[in-house]
Amino acid sequence: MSVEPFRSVLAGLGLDPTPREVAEILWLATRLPAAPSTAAADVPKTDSPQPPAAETADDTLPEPAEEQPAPVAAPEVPVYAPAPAPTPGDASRPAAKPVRLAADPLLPRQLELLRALRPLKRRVPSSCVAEFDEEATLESMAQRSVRHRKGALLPVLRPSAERWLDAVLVVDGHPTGLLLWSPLAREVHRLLVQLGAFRDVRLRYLHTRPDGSPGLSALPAPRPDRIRGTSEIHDPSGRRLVLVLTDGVAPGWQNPAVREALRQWAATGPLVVLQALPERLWSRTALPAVPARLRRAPNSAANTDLVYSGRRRGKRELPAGSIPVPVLELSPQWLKPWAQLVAGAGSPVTDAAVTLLAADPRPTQSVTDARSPERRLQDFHATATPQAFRLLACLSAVPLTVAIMRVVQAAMLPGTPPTVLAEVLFSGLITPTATDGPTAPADAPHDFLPGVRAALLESLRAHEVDQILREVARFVERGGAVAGRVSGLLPDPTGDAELSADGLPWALLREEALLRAGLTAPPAERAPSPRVGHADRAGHADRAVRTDSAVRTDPAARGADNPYRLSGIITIADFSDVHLGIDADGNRAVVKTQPRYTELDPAVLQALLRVEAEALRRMAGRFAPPLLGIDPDVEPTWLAMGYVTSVTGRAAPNLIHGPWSSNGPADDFHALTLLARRLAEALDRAHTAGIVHGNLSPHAVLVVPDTVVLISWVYAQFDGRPHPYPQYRERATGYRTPEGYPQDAPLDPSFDIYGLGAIVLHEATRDSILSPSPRALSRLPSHLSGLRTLIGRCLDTDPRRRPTARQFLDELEELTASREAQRTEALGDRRGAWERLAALPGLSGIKQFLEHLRAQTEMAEDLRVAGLPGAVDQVNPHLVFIGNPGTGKTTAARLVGEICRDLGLLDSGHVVEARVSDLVGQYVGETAILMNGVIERARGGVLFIDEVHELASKHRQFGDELTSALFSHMPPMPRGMVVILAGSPQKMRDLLAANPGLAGRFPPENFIQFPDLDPDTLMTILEGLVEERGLRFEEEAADGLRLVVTAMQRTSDEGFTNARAMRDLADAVVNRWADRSGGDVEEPVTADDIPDAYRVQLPHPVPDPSAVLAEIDGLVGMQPVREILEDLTVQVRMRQVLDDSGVTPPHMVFTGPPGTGKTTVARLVGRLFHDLGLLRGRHCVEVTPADLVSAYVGQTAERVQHLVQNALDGVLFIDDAYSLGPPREGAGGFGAEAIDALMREMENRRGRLCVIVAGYPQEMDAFMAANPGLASRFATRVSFPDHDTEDLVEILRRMAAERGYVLAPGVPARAAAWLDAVRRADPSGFENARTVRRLLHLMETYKAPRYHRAAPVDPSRPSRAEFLPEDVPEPPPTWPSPG
Amino acid sequence: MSDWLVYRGTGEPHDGIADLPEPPPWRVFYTDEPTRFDRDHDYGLSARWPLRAAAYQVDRHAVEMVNTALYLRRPLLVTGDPGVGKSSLAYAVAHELRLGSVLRWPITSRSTLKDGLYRYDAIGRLEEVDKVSAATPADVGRYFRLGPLGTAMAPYSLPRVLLVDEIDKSDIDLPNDLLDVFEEGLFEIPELSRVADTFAHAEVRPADDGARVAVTAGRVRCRAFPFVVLTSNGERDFPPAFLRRCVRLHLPAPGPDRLRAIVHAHLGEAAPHAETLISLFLERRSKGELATDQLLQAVYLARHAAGEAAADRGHVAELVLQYLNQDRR
Repeated sequence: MSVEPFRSVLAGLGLDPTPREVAEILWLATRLPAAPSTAAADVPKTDSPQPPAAETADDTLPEPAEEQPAPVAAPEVPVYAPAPAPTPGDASRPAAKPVRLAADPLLPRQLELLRALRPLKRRVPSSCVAEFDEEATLESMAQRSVRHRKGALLPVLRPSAERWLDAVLVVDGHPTGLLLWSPLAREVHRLLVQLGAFRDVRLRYLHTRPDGSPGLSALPAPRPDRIRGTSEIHDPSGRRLVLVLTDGVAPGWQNPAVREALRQWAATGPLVVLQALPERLWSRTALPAVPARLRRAPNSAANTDLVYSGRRRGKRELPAGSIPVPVLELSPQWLKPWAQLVAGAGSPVTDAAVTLLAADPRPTQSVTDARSPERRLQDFHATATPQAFRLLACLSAVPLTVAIMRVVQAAMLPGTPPTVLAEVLFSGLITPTATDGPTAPADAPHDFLPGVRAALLESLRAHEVDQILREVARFVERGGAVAGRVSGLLPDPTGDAELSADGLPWALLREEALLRAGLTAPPAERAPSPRVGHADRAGHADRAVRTDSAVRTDPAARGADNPYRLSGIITIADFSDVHLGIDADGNRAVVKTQPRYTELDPAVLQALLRVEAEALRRMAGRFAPPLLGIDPDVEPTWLAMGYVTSVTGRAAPNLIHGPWSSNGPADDFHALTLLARRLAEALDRAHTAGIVHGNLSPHAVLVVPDTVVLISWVYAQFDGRPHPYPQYRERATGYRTPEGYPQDAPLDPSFDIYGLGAIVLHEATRDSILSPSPRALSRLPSHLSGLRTLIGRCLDTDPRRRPTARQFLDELEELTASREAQRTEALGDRRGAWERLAALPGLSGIKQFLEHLRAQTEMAEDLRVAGLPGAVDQVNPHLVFIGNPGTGKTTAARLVGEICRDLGLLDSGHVVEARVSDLVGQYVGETAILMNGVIERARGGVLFIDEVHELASKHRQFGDELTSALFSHMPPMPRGMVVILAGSPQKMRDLLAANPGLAGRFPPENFIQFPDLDPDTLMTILEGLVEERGLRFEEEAADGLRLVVTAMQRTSDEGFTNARAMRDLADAVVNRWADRSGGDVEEPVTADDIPDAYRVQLPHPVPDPSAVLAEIDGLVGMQPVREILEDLTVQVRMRQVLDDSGVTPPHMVFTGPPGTGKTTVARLVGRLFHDLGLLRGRHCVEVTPADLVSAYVGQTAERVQHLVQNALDGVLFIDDAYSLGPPREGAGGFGAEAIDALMREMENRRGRLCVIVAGYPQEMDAFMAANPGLASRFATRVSFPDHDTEDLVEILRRMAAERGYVLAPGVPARAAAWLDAVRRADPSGFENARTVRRLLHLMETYKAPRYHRAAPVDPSRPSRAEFLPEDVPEPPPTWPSPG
Repeated sequence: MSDWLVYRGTGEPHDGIADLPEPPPWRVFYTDEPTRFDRDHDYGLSARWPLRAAAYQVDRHAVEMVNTALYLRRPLLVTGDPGVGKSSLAYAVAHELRLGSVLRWPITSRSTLKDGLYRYDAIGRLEEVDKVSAATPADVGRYFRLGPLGTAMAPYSLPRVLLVDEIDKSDIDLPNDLLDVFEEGLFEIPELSRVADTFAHAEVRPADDGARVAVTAGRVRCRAFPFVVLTSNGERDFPPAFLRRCVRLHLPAPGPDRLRAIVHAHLGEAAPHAETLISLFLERRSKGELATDQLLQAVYLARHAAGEAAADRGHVAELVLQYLNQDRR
C-alpha cells in the first residue's frame, strides 16, 4: 500500500506532515472505530498551524449535519471604533455592543531578538551565594589524607555563578510616547525577563516632575508627588544595565536635567538607547546618532569607559566631557553587536551608532510646524518609507485609534516593524481628537488633519477600502497571539454602548467567526425581512426586479432600509453613496443609496436611480452589472446591482486605474484593439436596446478578464427620449462631445461613440485622465496609424460623420486583418515564418529547437491519426533566451509565436512583451494582479518577459510572488501560452542558480543562447540604418566605422546592446553629418562625421602626449616622475603601433610623502591617457577611503559602484588608500568590502577606467602586500621623492610669482634655512609643497603691516610686491634629535 | 462511535486506561522492573484537587485531543486564556483514569531541565560519609530525589500524569531540552552512573513521596510514556520542532452553558443567584480579561458573604470581578 495518495490529500489541506506524522495518523486511524466521525477528521489537525476551532457550548453541541451546504460567502458584520462612555438618553446614536479582539504582538521576530541578546547571559561569581565544589573538596581530602593520614571532611565551597547584570527598562513617559510605546515597552520588558540573562528586570517610566526635573515611576501615569528621583536606579557597582526606550521626540529631551540623569547612569554601568523610530529619522530627534567605533574597556561595561573613535578621518577625538551612548533599533542586527560589546564577548571593537551626551547640553529651539496639511502630506509622501505611506493610505479607510492602527498594520503589512507605525504617527498628519469620556490610551480616538483623509482615499482603489476591512477582519479572526488587544463595537440594539453617528467600521467580521468567539451576531441584522431574489450569475435581472414596495420601513435602522446589509462605502458618486451590500445569503452586491449629504430633491435622486435601473434591466447583465433590486419609493431610496469581480476575485477596478494597459506598453496594438472592440460591442448592445449611455468615461468602465462592464448609467436615455434631469449633468470633460450635451433634445448614439474614441485614445497615449484631446491623435505612434484614423473618425466634431458601433466593429475587424498582413509584409516579404527563420543569421539554437518541436508535433499528429494517444502535450515549449540586448531575442520570440500557431500549438501566436519592472507591484498582492493581467493578454500567444534577471536583484521580495503567479499558469499548457524568459548571460546564470524552481520548469535543451553579433553583421546593420535615411558613405568613412564597430564589439562587456548600439551610433553619425552638411543629402558621410565619443576606437594617427609631458616639466622636482610617465607613453605608443587593439590604461600606485604633487600628477595622467587614446574622458575623480566606505553593511559596494560610475572613462584617484585595509579583526571589514568591490569594478570596466591609489610609501607597501590581488592589478608604480630644499625654494618662487610677488635677494637663503629647520624638527610631518605654501602664507602675514605702512608713501615703488629677507620668519628652534 | 475514548471526560473514575492499546512501534519504550504507585492515593500533594477534578467540565474536542495524546504517547500542549482550566485538565484526567497524584512542575524563567529531573544532595552525602561505617553498604539513593519530570519518566506500568505548568515562562532552551527527554523516554543521573560499578542499583525517592524508584546504572527509563500536559498562556512562540512533537489543544473561554455547568458542578444547585452573576460575568468578560475562577469566587461570596439583597450581591461581584489585565492607573 502506498501512502503517497494519502500524503497528497493532506498536502491539499495545506498540511505538510513529516513521515512520522503520517505514520501516527495512519496508526491512530486503525485504532479508531470504523464509522466516519468528526474525531477522525480532527486527528490531522494536530499538525495544522492553527488551534482547531472549538465549540462554544458544551459537548452536547450537535455536530454539523453533512448535507447542509456551506454558505457561498459568509455574512459579515461591521466592527466600529470603540466610543467613549455613552451619553444617556441620546437616542440619535445607534446602539452597539463592545467586543474585544486579539492582535499580533508588536515586536516581530522575538526569538531572533532573544538570540541576539544571548551574549548578555554572562554569569559572574556571586559575592554572597556559595555552592559545594565537589572536585576541590575531593582534592583537598586527598591532600590531607596523604599528609595527615586521616580523611577529615572539609567541604570546599566556591562562589556560585550568578547573573551578571540587572536591567532597568526606562520608558519615555510623555503622553504620545506612552500611547505608542507602552505596549511595546511591555513586550520588551517581557522579552528581557524571558531572556533570563538578568538578576532582575524592572520597568520604569521617565516623567517630568512638577518642578521640571525628570523623575521615575513604576506607573505610566503616576501622581506627580509619587515620582522618584532619577538616581533611584543609579548603581555604583556597575552591574545595572539601563535601557532607555524612547523616540527622542518628546520636548523633555531638550531638558538638560534629563541628559544629566542619563550621564549619571552611563557613568557606572552600561546605558543604551532603544530607539523606537527607524534609523533614518534619528537625525530629526533630540538624540541624533553618529557612526563610531567603540572598544570595550576590559573590566568595565560603563559607557564612560568605552573607547571611542570616530569613523571619519580627523574625528578621532570624543568632544570633551561627552559620553557615548549606543543607539539601537529594536532588531536583531542592531542588538547583537551591542550585546557582544557590552558582554565583552566576541570582538572588543564594534561599529555602532552612538549619541553623544555632552557635559553641558545646550537646549535647542523647537520649531513650530507651519506647513499646511496638503504640504505635510506631500512631504511625507516624498520622505516616508513605502511601507509607512502604504500604511497611511490603508488607515484612511478606518477610524483611528492606536490599537486599530496596529491591527491594520499587522493585517495589511505583515511583518513590518512597529517603527512603521511610529513614522506614520509622527508624520504630523494624525492628531488625537478630543474625547468626551475616559478611554484606554490605545483606544483614544485620533483623526487625520483636515483634508488628508480625502486625499489619501483617492490614492486607494475603490475596492481596496472594502478589501482592507476584510483583510483586517480575517487577521483578527485568525487571532493568533493575545499580546495586544483591540476593542471595537458591534452594532446591536440590545447593547448599551453607542456608535458615533458618522463612524466608519474598521473590520468586517464574518458571523461564523463571531459565533466561534462566543459572540452572537447582532440580532437586528438577522431580523427576517422581505428579500429580493438574488440574481444568479447569468443575470436574470428581470426576475429580480422588485416593483412592489413591501420592504419594511424602519426609520431607526441605520442606512437604507433594504434587504442588503450595508458594510462599507465603496465610493461616493455624484448622486448616490455606493455601498458594499451583503444579502441574507451572504452574497455581495453593490448598493446605491441616497447620499448622506445632499441638497437635491429626493424626487430627483429617485428618478436618477430609476433611469439606472431601467438601463441595467435592458442590458440584462451583458456588459453591465445585473440589476438585483430597486426600491425608489422608500425613503431613503436604494438600488442594488451585481458585484463585479476581476480575475483575482476582488472588486473589478475601473479604467481610471489603468489596469487595461498598465502591464505593457501603452501603444500595444493587441491590447488597444481588444479594448476598443469590447467597448464597441458594449455600445452596440446598448444602442440596439435603445439606450444611449451618455456618460462614457474611464470611470464608467470596469475591467474584468478580457472584457469590460459599463456602469454609471444615471444619464442614460431611452428610445430617443430626453433625460428627465439633464441640468444635473457634469459640465464638459474631455470625454464629452464638443457639440455639448443637449438640454432638451435626446442624445444621439454618436455621443457614446465620441466617448469610446476618447477612452481608447487616452489608453493609447496615457494623457491626463481629465483632458484627452483629439490633438493627442497626432502623437500616436506610426504602427497605430490604422487605429488613429478610426479613432479620429470617432472624435469627429460632426456627429454625423462618426461611425456607429457596428461600423466601428467592422472597421476594426478589417484593420486587424490588414495589419496582420502588413506586419507579415514588413517583417519579410510575405515569406512564411520558417523561411524568415532560415534567413536569419546565426540563431542555430532556436532553429534546432523549433525543428524538434515540429517533428514532435507532427509525430503526435500521426499517432493521433493512427488512433494512438498523441504526445503533443509532452513537448515543453517554454524557453529561456540568454543573450545581450539587441541580439534578436524579440524577433525570435515573434517567430516562435507564429510557428507555434502554424503548428497548432497556439491559437493566435501574438507576442506580449513585459518587463519585470512593469510587473512588480507597489504592495503585496499587486504583483499577482499585474501578472494575471499580462497572462490574460498573452493567452493564446507568447508571453515574453525580458530582463527577467531583475528578479534576482532589486525585486527580490516580489520575485517569489511573481514566479509563483507565473508558474501557476505554466503547467497546463497545450494551446494555452508559451512563456519565454530572456536576460543577459551572467545575470541569468545568477538568477537560475538562486532559483532552482525556475530552472526546473525549463529543461536545459530549452535554453537558447543568443551570442553577440559579429562585427560584420553589426556593420551590415549599421550600413542599413544609415542608408535607410537616404545617406551614403565615403569609402574612408566606411573603413573608419568598420574599425569603430570592430573595437566596440571586441571591448564589449556585459550589457553591450549589439543592434541597439548600432542604432545609437547611426543616430550620432547622422546628427553630426546633419550639423556639418546642413542637411544636404547629396553630401556623403565622411570620416569627419564619426562622433568624438567613438573616435577613441579609431587608431590614433600618432597620439601626441608631449603637451602633457611638457606640463610636467613645468613642475618642480618631477624629473623622476616624468621619466616613468615618458617610459609608459613610449610603451603604449609602441604597442599601439604594433597592434592597435587591446591597449588599456594601466592602473597605478603613487607613493610619496605629502605635498609632492601626487594629486596634480594624477590629474595630468587623466589627460595624458586621453591624449594617448586610452580613455575617452580627461577627468579625474578624487576620493578618500571615507567616500568609499559606508557605515552600514552592504552599502559600501554600492558607494564604490557609484564612484566608479562617476569616474568612468577617466581617472579614479584614491588618496590615502592604505587606510582601506588590511581588514582589522572585528572592525567589520568594510575596507575589505570596498577593496573587493573596487577590484570587481576594475575587472568589469577594463579599459574604461584608470585607478590610481596613493599614499605614504611604507603604508602603501604594507597595503599592497596585504592585498595580493591588488598588487597584481596595480602594475605601474610611481614614486614621488621628497623635494630637496633647492626645489622647495623654487616652488616658493613660483608660488610667490603666481600671486604677484618677487623674492628679494637673501630671501631664498632665509627660506631655505626655515624649511630645513622645519624638516629637521619633524621629518615625518614635513609636507613639502604644502609646507612651502604655509611659509608663503606666513611671509604674507609678516609683510602685510609693513606694506600697509609703506603703501601711502610711494605707490609706484617696485619693491611693494617684493618679499624682503625680514619677511621670512625665523627658523623654529631645532631640538637635538633624541638618541 | 466514542468507544475509542479512553478518557471520557465524565469525571467518574474508571479503569478505562486498561483499554489503551499498545503504543505505535516508534513509541515503545523500555521494560524495566515496574515501580509501584498508588493509583488513588495522592500523597497529600493535591488533596484539594480531587473535587475540582471531578467537577471539571470538558468539551468534546478537548476529550478527543486528550485521547489522541494518550494514544500517540505525545505531550499535550494546552493553550488558552488564564482561568479556562488548562491546568485543571491534568487533574481531571488523573482523577478519572485513576493515575495517581499529578506531578506538577511549575516553570519559571530560571527552571532548567535538571531541576525537573532530579536533585542531588552532595553536602549531605559528604557529611554522612564519616558516620557510615564501611561495613554497611551505602544507600546512595537517599541523597537523590527525582523531580516531577524525573518521576514521570520512572518505570511505572501505567502512565503518570505530569503537569508542566506555564512552559511559556521558561528559558528559551528548555522546550528543546524537554523535547529530547520526551523523545528518548530516558535520562541519566551522572552522579549515579559514575559509581555504577560500586552501586549498580540505587533506590531513589520520587517527587511524590511514593515508593522508591529503582535506578540501575544511573539510568531512569520509562515503561509507559507519561501523560504530559504542558500549559501555555501564549506568551511566546515555541520552536517548530517542539510544536510538531506536541498534540496541540486550544481551550476557548467557556460560554454561558458551560459556565452554568461549571458553577453547578462546583457549588451545587444552591446557587439561585448564579444566573445573574453569570450574565454579569459574561458581559464584563467581553470588555476585559476575566478567569472562570473569578466567577466561582463571586458566586461563592455572594452566597455566603452577602445578604439576600441583590444590590449587595452586585457589590460583592464587583469586588471579585476585577480585570486581570487592567493597567494600574
